[in-house]
Amino acid sequence: MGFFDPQNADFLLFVAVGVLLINIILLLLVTVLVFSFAKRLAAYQQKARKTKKDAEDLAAQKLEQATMQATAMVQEASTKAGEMLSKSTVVSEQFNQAIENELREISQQHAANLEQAAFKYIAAYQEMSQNAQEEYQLTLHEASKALSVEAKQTLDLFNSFLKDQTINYEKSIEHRIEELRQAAKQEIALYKETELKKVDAGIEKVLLAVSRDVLGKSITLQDHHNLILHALKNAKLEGFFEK
Amino acid sequence: MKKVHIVQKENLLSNLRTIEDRTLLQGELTSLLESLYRTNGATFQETLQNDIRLNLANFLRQELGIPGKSPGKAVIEQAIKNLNTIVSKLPTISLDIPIDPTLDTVTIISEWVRDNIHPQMLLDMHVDRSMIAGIRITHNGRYREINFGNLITQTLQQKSQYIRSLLQ
Repeated sequence: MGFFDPQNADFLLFVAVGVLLINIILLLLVTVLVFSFAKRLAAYQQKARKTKKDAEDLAAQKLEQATMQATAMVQEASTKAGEMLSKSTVVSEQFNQAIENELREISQQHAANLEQAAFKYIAAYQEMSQNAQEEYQLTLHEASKALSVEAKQTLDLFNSFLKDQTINYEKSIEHRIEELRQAAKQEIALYKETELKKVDAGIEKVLLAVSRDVLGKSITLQDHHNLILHALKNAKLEGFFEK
Repeated sequence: MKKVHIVQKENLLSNLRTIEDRTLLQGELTSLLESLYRTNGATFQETLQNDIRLNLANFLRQELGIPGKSPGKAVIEQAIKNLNTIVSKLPTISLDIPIDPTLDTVTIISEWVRDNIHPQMLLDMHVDRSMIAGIRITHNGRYREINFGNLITQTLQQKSQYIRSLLQ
């Protein structure tokens, strides 16, 4: 049995001790690594905190500087604005004064012009009025004359029209009377004709009735038979029954 | 025998003088036809015996050989229809007269018409009292009239101007 025989207890112990040593070594290495990592991490964290703090300090400093600069600018602007405002007030007063003067001059000038124009207008109006009055009188006179002539002509026309109308009316009346006369004549003639027809019809009826009575009584049955046979014989003689 | 039958037929037709006579005869023929096929009521023989005038009954008996023979219904029907056709075709003349015709009137006119126009001519007579006297004849679509009423009216119309002159 050799040393390296797996059945050998020494060999097995040797292997077990070896394995245990290897594990211990590995454990130590891991521990060293973890410690080193933790240390580096802490250093990084500290550096980061420092960097952040520096940035915050720098920002605060910048903000303070900006605030100070802004305050200074505002103060300067305010000062300049005050100066400008005081200057503008003076300019405004001067401007108002100038405008007022200008307006006064213009107003005076316009008033003078208006007065002058008014005088001219009144003079022109008086002249036109005078002319218009004269023209009106002239026109009125002429119109009066024309009206007089026209009225006379119209009156003459009216007289003529009245005469014509009277003549026409008389003719129309005569025509109407003639129409009525003719209508009456026709009506009378028609009435007479109708009545005469009635008389004719009456005479015919009476005569027929009388004839019927007289002949009916006077003609015997034998006479009727003879008359019928006589008529038939005559018809035959005249060829009435031949086809 | 046949000669006797012909005479009977001529007598039968000669007795028809007016269209009323023909209508009466045709009514009898219709009754006989109806009796042939009637199930209830009088038979043909009974109708012939009781309802038909003697000259027509004798003519039909002679025609059908009754009572020696016993003809069938078809033979009887044919004989009746033949007679009806002959009667329907008899010529007519239309006469309008102013009086109600008496038997004498019908006889006189009918005899004259049969002697002078046609031996079997039937009269279609109507009364028109407005005629007063005269006759109106209508035959073969032709017309002739002797009317005293019209004559009076025509005379009055001819004289109307004279009558009016008297009235005015």
